[in-house]
Amino acid sequence: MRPEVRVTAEWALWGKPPDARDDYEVLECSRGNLGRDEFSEIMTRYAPGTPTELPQVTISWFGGGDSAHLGLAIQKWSGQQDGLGRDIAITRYFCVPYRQAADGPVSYEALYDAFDGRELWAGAPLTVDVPALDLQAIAERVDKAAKSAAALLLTGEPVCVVRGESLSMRERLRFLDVVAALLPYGLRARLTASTWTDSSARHRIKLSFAKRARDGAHSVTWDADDVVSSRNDVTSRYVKLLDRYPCDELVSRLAEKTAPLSFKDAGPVLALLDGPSNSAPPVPAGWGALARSEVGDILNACADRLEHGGHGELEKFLLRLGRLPIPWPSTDDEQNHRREIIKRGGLLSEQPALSWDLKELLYDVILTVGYGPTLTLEGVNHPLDDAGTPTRTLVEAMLRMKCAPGVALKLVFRLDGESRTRALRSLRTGDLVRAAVREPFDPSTLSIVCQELVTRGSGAEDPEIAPALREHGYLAAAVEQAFPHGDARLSCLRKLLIAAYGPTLERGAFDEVVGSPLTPCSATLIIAAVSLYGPDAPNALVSGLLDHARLTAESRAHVLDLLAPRPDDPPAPRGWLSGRVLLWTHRHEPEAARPEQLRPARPGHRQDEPLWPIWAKVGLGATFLVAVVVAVVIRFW
Amino acid sequence: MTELIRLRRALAEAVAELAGPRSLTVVEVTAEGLTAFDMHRDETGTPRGRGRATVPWAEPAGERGRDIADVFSARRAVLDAVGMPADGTVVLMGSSPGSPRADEAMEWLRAAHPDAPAFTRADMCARALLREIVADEPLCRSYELVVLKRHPATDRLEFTCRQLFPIEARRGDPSSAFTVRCEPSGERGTAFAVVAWRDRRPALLSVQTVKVPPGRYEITAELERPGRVRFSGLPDLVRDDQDWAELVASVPARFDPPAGPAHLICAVETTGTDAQVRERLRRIGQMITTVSDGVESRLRVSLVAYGVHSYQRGVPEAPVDVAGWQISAEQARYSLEDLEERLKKRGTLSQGYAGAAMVEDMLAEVVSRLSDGGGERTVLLTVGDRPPHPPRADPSEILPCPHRIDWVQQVRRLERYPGLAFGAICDRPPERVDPVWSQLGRGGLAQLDAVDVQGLGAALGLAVPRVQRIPFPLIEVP
Amino acid sequence: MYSDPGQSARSDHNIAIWGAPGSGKTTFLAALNIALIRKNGPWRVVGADGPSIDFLSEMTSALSQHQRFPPATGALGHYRWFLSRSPEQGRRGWLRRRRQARAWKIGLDVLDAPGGFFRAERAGYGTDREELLDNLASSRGIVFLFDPIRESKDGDAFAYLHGVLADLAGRMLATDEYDDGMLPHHLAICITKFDELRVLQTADKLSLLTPDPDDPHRFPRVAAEDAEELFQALSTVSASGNADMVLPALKQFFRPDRIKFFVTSSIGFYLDQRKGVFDPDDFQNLIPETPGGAGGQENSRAAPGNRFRIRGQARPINVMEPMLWLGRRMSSGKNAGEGDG
Repeated sequence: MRPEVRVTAEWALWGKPPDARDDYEVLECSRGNLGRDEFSEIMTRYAPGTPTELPQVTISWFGGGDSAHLGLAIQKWSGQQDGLGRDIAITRYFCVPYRQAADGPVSYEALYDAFDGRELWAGAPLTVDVPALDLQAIAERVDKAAKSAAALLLTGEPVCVVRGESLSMRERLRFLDVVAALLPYGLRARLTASTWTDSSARHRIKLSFAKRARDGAHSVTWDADDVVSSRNDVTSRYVKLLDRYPCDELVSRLAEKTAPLSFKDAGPVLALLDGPSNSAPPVPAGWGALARSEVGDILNACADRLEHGGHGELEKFLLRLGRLPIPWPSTDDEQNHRREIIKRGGLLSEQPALSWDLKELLYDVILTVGYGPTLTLEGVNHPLDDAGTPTRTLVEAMLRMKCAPGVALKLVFRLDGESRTRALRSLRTGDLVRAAVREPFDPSTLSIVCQELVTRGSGAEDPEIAPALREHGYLAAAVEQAFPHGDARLSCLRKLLIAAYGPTLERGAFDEVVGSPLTPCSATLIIAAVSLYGPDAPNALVSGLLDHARLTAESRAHVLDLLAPRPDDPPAPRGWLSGRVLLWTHRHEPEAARPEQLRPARPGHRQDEPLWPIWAKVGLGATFLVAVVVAVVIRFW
Repeated sequence: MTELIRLRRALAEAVAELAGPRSLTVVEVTAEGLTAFDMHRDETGTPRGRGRATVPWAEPAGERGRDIADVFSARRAVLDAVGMPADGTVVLMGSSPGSPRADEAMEWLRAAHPDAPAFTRADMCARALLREIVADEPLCRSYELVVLKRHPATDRLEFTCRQLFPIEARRGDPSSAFTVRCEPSGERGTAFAVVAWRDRRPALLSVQTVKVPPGRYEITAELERPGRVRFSGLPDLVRDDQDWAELVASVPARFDPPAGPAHLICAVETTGTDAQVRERLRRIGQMITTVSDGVESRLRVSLVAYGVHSYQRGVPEAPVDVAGWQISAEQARYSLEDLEERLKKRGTLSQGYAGAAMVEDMLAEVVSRLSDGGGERTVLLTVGDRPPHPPRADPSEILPCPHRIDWVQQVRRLERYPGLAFGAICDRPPERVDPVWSQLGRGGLAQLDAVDVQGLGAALGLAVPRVQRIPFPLIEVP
Repeated sequence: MYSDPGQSARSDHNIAIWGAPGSGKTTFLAALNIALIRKNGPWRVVGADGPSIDFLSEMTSALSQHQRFPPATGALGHYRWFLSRSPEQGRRGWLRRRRQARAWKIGLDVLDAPGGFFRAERAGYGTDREELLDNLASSRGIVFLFDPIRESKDGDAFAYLHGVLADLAGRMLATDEYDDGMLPHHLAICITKFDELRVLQTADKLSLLTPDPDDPHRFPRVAAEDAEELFQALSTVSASGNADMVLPALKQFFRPDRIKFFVTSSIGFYLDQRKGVFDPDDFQNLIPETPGGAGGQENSRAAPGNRFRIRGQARPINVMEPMLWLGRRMSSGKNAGEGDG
């Protein structure tokens, strides 16, 4: 859908009543600035001649400066006959202020479509929305005949397009549009054109299809293979200028030139195109010639409709704004100006009267125009501040925007219940984990996050879970805080580890968990890791710890020696404690420098000999567990 | 339980719950678009459904991708297509999981109708499914046949009903067999009307008619589905949409048994629009039916069609067409149909001379054929609109008859024919007819749109027999 | 391909057609070619530019082949024609032929305005009225069509005459150029629609019908000298009663020696080919058609179909004569030695 402009047309109906024996007259007209006499004069002035084939459309103009108007006359058979048995042709004439048409700008075809078939109510001028010029479509239709006609029109003499008899009225109207589009839009304030004229009639139509060119008129052949060349300097110069630009750039440049111009002086017209090719800023696709300042106007209009309940119009304005290409280049001043309007107009405040989808559209559009296209960490508070009391719908709309890292996380916590869950679900895994450890701590978030991580880990494997968890100590601290009971903690951490690594830990994963910077809350985590590793866990644990301790060979041997099974001498807790301290301060060694893998690649498949006999393992394991628990308890107390 | 079974069950329940203003909207979302089906229960208790036009998905956006406004418009289109039924259930069924458009639309619909059951893997088209479900529904009203009963003593005719199917009957249930008597009926035949009863109030379900010779008929009724009953034992019945009140009103108060020789000459103008010509022929048909009296009628009918003179080079003119002369009423009806068929083939006679028709030629033809005869009542009924051509250039500016026939002379000759009456049915109201028509209709002039056929027949001195058309079957009273 | 606006030669013999709406101005022009062809005389009409050639050929085939009338004129039409007379056989002297070829060619610039342009109350419409007056002022010949049928129904011939006439006189006579105070135009007053029963009957009642012994079809005619009498008789049958002012109004401004009356019919009487002679019982050549027939539907691309059609062949009466009269009178001042038609 293209943006639309609203135009108000005065109109007249030119014809005669059935069985009338008199000539054509104004049968009916709107009550505005023009009266019957004025309409009659216009109709007579721009009569294309005696009709043979209808419908036909004639384009005309009247007035200058602020009162310049474009006229469009649609002539059709009425299906009735006059008193002398002759068919009656009814002409519906519409005139719109040139300024309104240039605002789109709009094509003749679009005006025709907007007016044709409209019911006319006595007295009332007609207000219609007309889509803006489809530059792309026009550019695709540019051909040599159109270029010839456009260039010849600049001589000020009329141009007749011949051999177009087989074309439909719409095809001819489109051609007129293309020719007009190859001239600055401003010339439409003085262009008369018709899809057909009678060359024997003394008409005032500059550009028209006709059977033959009339006296004093240039002739252009429809579908001609060559661009006409003329002895007239203006024509040849203009043809050269037209050929200088690619069609789409040409029509978009010319469409921008909406200041009224005259055919009497070709100089300014030539000068418009005679500049450097890329001097003009590109017209954004689909945006027509909507000036930046108009964004503010539309925002104001939106605020006005919000206040006074014009929801249908609000929707149109929003859709128009919604076409704003992204990124829309705007300065800080512009942005601030828009924010000011948004704030003052309460465009982001709660809107109970709007339907939910219109509300979404409102927020989506206003956020993009006022704060977009990307919501930054610095900017995230702006819409919230400007909204006064931000609603859930607003926050959800903000989440739909393109967000800089961390922004979504910040926003999620402005939501609750189902909507928060939904929002969390849409977060990246890293952000999700970060959300769980966010201060102030919120146990309910943790459980949602855990649930979500478990869900993500259970389906398709999510490779991001493990690194994200590791970065945040596997959430051990948060779990500790959330669950008073050890069993519940263990269960939760086990689920997290399963989500990250699968139902059994491989040695590498085990080392990752155990080797992560320990916190005072790591006990349950280690237990959880151990429980997922299998019976050889104590061995692996010690071995892992020793590896991380970066001891010299002698110290390592000494420690192992101390740990050697002596039935009468249970291991002292102190030694374990010192080991822990070492571990807390250790740094990971590079992968290559690690000792050989002690654990096979696949769980349950052993390659090497056990370090210690079974009984020693059991004893050592139990002792280790007791020691860790004691250490934790001491720490807490 | 598969999704389809669950869906079928949900739909069957929803259909069963339909009552009064309560409605059901079934939304089918496919890869191509969205179709909403509206179901309600009509006054006969039959679930009726109507599929709205499929709303296709918006064209995929170009390279630019969809912007906010596109998504908004697309969603608005989807939601608008379904609407917000005030008093109704909505069921969502997606038949194309995996189609991004369809999935997206389902998502929007779910959000807008959170209470609506949604089925995403329905492998069956909603139209067929709904049709099946409705067909399998048990009846919620009893279905009965409208019949007439003749009072043995007074001969009065009374309406009564004979049950065909009780409440809870389903399709495939045993059919119902009974015997009725059909009497001579109207143009359309005997009407087999089925009504649905509820709380002592009947609602008309269907009217099917058949033209059969009078006699006893063994009939079997079979329930095809709720709302449709099929009768066998009779030639093909056809659905009849005539006005029920009119049909009921056409039943005579009593059933009585069967009037002198007459000759009705119907002359019809075949110019004008198809509708005008058809209407004129229909009026002639009515007149023949009204004044004839079955097989034993002593009425003879003649049928003459006339058009326009051609004043155009190379365009031949159709002469006066005597489609039947002194034939029976029954034959005349066939000739009338035949004439209509021929005219239809020839197309509208909108071309040719506009201001008059060859009335004078028609009159001359009738005069020449009536020369030997007489004695019986003879009526010339002219049905048309245009005046005749004058015999020479005339202030009326109507071109003269190419054969220079003077219609005034022809009328005078007919006036001399013993027992002849002039009747006319003109397209225009009497105050606007050409003075010629006042002469052609001096015994009775009516306007085409408002003919009291019986009254006109009577005014023209044709014996109008008492109407004894029994439009419903009679049930024999033991 | 070079494009230059085309310009065709202009004639200084401008003839304007003047008449109320529906009085048959365009049909009169359309019938001119047929009249000249049927006459089988030395005169022919030739278009001087493309659109004028088109008009001649289209209208000739509309009237003769399709038996249809031209539609209501929508804008001021301008046709450039030449009435040319082929040199007579037998006089093949080299010098003579050259001289004749130049002298026997009358240029006609004909203006056909929508009838409404002439309406007295239409003074407010500005541009079209001005243009019309410009054209009338630059013309030297006027064909004034008096439609007795319209006059009996609407009675507005005077209304379509006096306003424009007053304006024209005001404009042209304000200067001293025309010292006799009369307009310089030659005026052919044509009583149209002679083929209509009422006109023919009136002429018959006044015993103005004279047979033309040279006419194999024996069509009735009103001699030029009797035409004014018929005009006056028909003027009395006016719906408004104003028609009797038409002639005095014209005579006030045009020199009597420059006025000539013609009783005309653009389509003429119907002739039954089998009989080959005029039938007083059946002569109407205008025939109504059923509405909604061939054309006239809304949005139809087809050519409009009028409700009236020509029944037989168009056999124009006194259509060529006023034009030749005007052409000859206008060029008589400039070209000596022209022949008769």
